[in-house]
Amino acid sequence: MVSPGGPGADVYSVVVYDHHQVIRDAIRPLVDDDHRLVLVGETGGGTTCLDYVRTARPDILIMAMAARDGGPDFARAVKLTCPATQILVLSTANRRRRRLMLDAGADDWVPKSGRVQPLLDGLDRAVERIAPRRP
Amino acid sequence: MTCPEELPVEEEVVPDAPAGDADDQAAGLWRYRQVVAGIPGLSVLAFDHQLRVQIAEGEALRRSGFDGAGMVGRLLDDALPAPALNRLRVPFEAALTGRTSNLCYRSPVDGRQFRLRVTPLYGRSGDVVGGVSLGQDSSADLARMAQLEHLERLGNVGGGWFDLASGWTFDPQLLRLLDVETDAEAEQVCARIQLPGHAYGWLGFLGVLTTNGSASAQGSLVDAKTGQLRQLFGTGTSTRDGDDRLLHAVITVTDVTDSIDERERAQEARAAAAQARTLLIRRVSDVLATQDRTIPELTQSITDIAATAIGDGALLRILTADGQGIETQLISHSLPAAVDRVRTFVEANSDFLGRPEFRTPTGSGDSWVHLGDPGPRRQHTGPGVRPDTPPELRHVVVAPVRHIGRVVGYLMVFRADRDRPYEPGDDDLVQVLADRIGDAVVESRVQQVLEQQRSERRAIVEQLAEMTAEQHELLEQLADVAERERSVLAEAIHDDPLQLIVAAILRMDLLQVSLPKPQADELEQLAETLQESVEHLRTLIVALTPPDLSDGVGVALRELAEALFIGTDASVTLVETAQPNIVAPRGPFIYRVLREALMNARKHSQATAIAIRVVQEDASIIAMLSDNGVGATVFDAGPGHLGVATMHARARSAGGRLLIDSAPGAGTTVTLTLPAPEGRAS
Repeated sequence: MVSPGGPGADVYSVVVYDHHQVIRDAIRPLVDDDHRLVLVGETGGGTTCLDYVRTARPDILIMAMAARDGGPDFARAVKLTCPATQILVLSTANRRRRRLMLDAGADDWVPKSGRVQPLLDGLDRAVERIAPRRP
Repeated sequence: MTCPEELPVEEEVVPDAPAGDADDQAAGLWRYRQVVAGIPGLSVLAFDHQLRVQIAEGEALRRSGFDGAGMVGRLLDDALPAPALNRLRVPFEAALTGRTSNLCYRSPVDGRQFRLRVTPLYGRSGDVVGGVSLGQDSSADLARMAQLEHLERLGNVGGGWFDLASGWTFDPQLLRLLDVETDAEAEQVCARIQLPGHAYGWLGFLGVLTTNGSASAQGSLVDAKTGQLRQLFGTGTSTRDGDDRLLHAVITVTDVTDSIDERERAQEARAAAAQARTLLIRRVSDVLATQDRTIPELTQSITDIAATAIGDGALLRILTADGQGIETQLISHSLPAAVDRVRTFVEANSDFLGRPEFRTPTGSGDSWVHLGDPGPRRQHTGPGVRPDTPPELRHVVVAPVRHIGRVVGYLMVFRADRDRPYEPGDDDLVQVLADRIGDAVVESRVQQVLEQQRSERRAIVEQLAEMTAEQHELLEQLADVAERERSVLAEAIHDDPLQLIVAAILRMDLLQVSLPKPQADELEQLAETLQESVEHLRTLIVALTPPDLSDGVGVALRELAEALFIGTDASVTLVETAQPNIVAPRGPFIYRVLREALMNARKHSQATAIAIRVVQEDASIIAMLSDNGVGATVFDAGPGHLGVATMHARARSAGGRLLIDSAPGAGTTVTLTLPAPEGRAS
């Protein structure tokens, strides 16, 4: 695992999966500005995303639930490939769909409202879940 | 012995006493009329000096076709046919001169035989003021005479005579007839002849035959040798003096045993024929009572029965309902060639069946009897056989097929055998059959009309159902198309504008951090505005996205309601008691209708509580949407706003109904009731 952060600081790798380029473009600076995070991949395709997960084994996967191949089955596939990866769902879906995603292995969800704060909060919660497991 | 035509057998001057006065005369005439009118076979005709009819009464007159009341006041020249008056003028005019005439008279009109007594009628002054003719129909007597003559010819006949000088003398034939040898023995045998029921039976056979004038008697005698009962018929003419002493007599005696046996056999044959007719009518009734036969089958059966039982052949023609054309014509005969000949004949002589009368000349052995149209039966002589008449039509009876006074066809039976003419009663039988057919035909026509009306009604109902089903299908197809378009639209909104706005908000949020506060605040406001538009777009997407009905239509509607009312204070509750798997086939349909209602509620109601109910009651599924909003009275939003109209049309097309209950300030409840899918209703 690459740790591009400063000495003594834990760095968490992130993959962004959203088939809308404009969204990925908007999320990238957010990750870049956070010293805890490092973007190891971004994609609009499910297969590529799984490749990233398999090869890069990211700490956090930010995925849009509405993305193609972005349903519960995809979440299960990610967890099978890399159980440690925290799945943060950017969701515009209704409660029931969100429930399905959580049941399939997703760890958290953030409304895809556009506001940055909920997404930052979601990333913080992910980091908090990962940190205790770090050696 | 017959009564010679128009030959006065007796002519005498009777010094009748003149009537006392006019009232007595009138009363006498009245009594005369009463008596005469009540006696069968009698008639009275009174006339004045001008031979003008004063009274014309009596059953015999009526039977001869005269209208008695219509004759009064008319001259006899005018009231009687010329041939009749020609024969009666002499005795009538004799009465006006005070003479009474007794005569036999054969009517030139109908051939009946009458005994007439024409007497003068006297006025108060004793003058002859007119005449009275009293007539008695003697046709029956004459027939009996003819029969006697016939019997005399056929049977053993003997005679005897009496005079004061010799007493009884019997001829050898009578002695042989009585099986005796002497006159004295013959007298003894005659005394043994029984005369049961004879008014003067106590006088004995000879005594009865020799009452003053003409007499006749029939008696029975047990044959001394064989013990057989013999029937003897005797006639006598005698003269007695004032002391009732027999002066002179001539008798004739006939052994009629065989004739009587013959008559009994004839009676038995007639009874058998009557029974056969009854059986025939019974057979036809049985055929008509058979429920599962069509009218063509029935009429064919009856025609066949008539052909075998009364005809050699039979023809049944049923006219069309308007009476102008031929609906059905059946000809039944054992020989196909005969069928063809009869058909050709009746087709070439279109009026043959419908003719009111037709009869071939006597002597040919042919007899054609056409029974009348609904009125009384008529038999007439007609112009004779047409040259093209087929031999099958030697004897014919035609009866109109009637129903309540209307002729609906004709039934004809026919025979070729010269020696088998139709008998009295056959015409009645044919008429009875024809009338039964008439009833059956008319009844079947009524049934046909009813059946046609029924099937037309069925067709309309089916057509309506078909149209409703088609309408339902069209509406659903339309809904599917609309659904696909909505889906495409939802995707387009989601993929493009929504994502762009979301990305813009993200970037603005990131930018805020690096901006001084006033600009940051400005940007925040901008971001909030954009976020609001995101919410609206999301609502739109939810409304446009095809429902996920896997958890039931109630859940899908609740999610839709929640999405639609997001950003408002409205709460959404769901009560779902119907089993989702029962409702499932109706799910998309219910969803579409109530989605429209939800959209309306979102747009207009300003409600704070939305309640959705999906329940099942008996064989119905009831889906309800209630809100506590502002309500309304009118839901017809006019052209271009077809939402409510479409909801109603959808409900009807699925065999259900839609009820919208609303009032200003009292909220709105939309109730959709649908029949539960077959076989799955609780």
